[in-house]
Amino acid sequence: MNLLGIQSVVKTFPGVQALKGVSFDVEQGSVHALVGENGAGKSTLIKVCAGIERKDDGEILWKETPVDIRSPLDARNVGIGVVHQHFPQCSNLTVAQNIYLSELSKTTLRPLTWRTRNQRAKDLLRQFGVERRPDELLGDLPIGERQVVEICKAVAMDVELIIMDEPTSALALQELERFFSLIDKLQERGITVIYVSHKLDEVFRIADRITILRDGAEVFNGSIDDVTPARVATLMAGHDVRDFERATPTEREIGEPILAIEDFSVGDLVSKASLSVRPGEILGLAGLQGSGTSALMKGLFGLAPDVHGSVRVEGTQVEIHSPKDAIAAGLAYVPADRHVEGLNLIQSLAENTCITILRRLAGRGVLKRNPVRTLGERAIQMLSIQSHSPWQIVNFLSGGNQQKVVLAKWLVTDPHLLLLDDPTRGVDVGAKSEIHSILRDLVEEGKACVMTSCELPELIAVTNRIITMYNGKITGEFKSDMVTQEDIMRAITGATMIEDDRQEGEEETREARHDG
Amino acid sequence: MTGEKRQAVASGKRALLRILRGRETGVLMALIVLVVGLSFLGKNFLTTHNIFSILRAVSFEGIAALGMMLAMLTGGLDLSIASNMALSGILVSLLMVSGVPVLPAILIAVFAGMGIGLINGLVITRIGLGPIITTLAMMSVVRGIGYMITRGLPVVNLPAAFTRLGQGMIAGVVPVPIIFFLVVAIVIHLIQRYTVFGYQLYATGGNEVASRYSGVQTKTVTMTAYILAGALGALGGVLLIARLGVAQPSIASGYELAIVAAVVIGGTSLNGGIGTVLGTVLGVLIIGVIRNGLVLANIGGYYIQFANGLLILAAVAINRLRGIRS
Repeated sequence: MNLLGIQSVVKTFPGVQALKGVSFDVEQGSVHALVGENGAGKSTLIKVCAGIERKDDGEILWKETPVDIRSPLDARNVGIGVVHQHFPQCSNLTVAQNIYLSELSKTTLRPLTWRTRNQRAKDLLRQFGVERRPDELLGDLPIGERQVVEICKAVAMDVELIIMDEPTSALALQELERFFSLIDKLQERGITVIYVSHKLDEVFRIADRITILRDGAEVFNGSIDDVTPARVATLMAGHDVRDFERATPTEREIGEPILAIEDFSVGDLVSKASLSVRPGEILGLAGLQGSGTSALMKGLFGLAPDVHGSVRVEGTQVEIHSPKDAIAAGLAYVPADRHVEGLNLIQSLAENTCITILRRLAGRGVLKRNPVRTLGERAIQMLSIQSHSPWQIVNFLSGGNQQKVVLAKWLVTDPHLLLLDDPTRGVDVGAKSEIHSILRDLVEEGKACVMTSCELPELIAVTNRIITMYNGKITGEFKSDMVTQEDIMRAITGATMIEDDRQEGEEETREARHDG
Repeated sequence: MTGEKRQAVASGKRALLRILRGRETGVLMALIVLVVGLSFLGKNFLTTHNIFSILRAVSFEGIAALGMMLAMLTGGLDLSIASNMALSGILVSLLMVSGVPVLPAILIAVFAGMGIGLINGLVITRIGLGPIITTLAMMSVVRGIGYMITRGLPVVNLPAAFTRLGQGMIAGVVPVPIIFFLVVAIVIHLIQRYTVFGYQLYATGGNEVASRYSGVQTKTVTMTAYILAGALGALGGVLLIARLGVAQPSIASGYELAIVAAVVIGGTSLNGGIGTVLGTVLGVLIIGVIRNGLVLANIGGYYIQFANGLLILAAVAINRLRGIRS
């Protein structure tokens, strides 16, 4: 039976038709993947189903009957729960209070008793693999467990359908497995899941059915068995996505290192790391959340206190205490979260781009409008940013184009070395491959890049060399064309270190050798 | 039509649209409606004399409002600005009464104002206290210093060379304070639009973290904004005392609210990063015209505070609704 039916749903915002008549059915008990590039209409569709936005036209069927969803409360009463990407929670309340938050909306002055609710919350959490006291403050939980709390909140409301918007984007790699088993448990309870993502490996792992959106309309609808990941990627992008495999830049063995660090420590987040990067090279830093890869970059860029060790840029010893020093040394830093750390959303593309080189543009003090505009125009042309004017407010650009603006503002500084913390996070497939080719062009010119990625296949495909980190320490170094995801996974989960320590480790290696 | 002409027309249309959509346009419309409305009230409103006296009346707060706007562009605000006006007025008066020439006395008073701004900036950026609580405390501290050093008594017998700055007329019609207001407005506009500091100020207000990560020394930028706010508050205060001819520690009490109202009405965002000199000047004029209108309509000064409060609410609500729509 179809639990949810979307029929010719249309939604128009000023200037854009976000949904141009989308139709698909969601079978009861299935895991239904909804995929598409940024701007394809996924978010709008979710908002329509969740009662946050009203549809302009079309119909939503619930168990074959038309329903009118005008508010989040309506959606909940129908039986639809939504776990948003950046789910809002009350971190000042307890775990149980968050799970039963919806009951607070019914209670005015009626006293609430928490004993039974606490017990129920605890049981519910345990079923989903989280052992926590229900009276712990939610703010004290790691992000992965908070997400489980958010899902429990939906389950506690007795919904039949849970829509998850990019649920794994907030999760560290080690939390993924628990998340997948959680989906299984939801299915055991008979709860249908709509899974919104653009991570295809995840989609192929857990989904039964798939709907692909492009430009506000569905372009494929059917069983996951009827498509391949490559086909899905092509349908999403509407053009052939460059294969990851061919992306590795050509190796150049020669050359003084652009960056060489020795015994580099950042607080207790990175301890005594040593590495070097040569011109023409893209170095990958692989590590789980908290492994020190991000801290290493921040430390190098003068953004962390308590930094020790030697840093040499092109052979010269440098002292970097602030981003200003780092820029002067020829470094650039593309942070992981472009909204918080990368961009000034309320200002224009040109104003964002010029911020790193204001003094150079100003010359003898007066900063004219013209050079700023020219710079913006150059950025648009150089990185093919989709923007009608250099004065376009950045907030209104798509995710991929926003990320290109972050790149642009660093490229104009003409850096020798770019530090890129997950530079393709949350950008669509097309923009992703464009960003890869920008990086390749840069290293072709003799610059170097150090990057991380939350997707290992991407890291392996784009880099020449990968250094793995675990618990603040470097655990291994691999040539990207000779390494497998499993090798890296073992190094970043600390498995190789455990193997070194234990005899079982040796036995495993012997077995492996025997197998080989 | 040739292609070039068509292009020129199109770009002209775009420019017109941009002007119509601009935040300042709404404020200007409101001002025009007010002026037209009040001119029906009686023939006393739209006279050269009345217009100039409105302009002179708003000049002192207007100069301070430009300083307030700079502080608000960083995402904060300076509630101590009216106390700063009073203290600098007292300082300049005491200095002149004890024999210091006019110009050095003014400079010292303005430097004192910058010192207050520096303290605000240091506490906000180095200790990390919120701007509201910091400047609220400083509002009382600074006002208190004024009472301490005067023991509550007015300072009188100010030299004529000084009071001319507040009371004088150029060519017999244009009051001197207006010229000060105009010059300060132009200078601040040029600083915002054509200097590195101007760009850094908007960037810091728009996203402090991203700006810091881009090499902008955001703490220095924020501090500079508060120092400039202090300087402009002091200058406004000095001119106000020159206009009144006597310095009292209670002077300019409660002005901070009217000044915030003017800046917010002018379209400056409470979150920082958005706001212009033109908008602020228009906001100041609206406050001044309403005040003048209340007096001319014989409603009286007791309603002014009430009107200021309502205006703040209305302006913030309008900006908020505008944000939601876009």
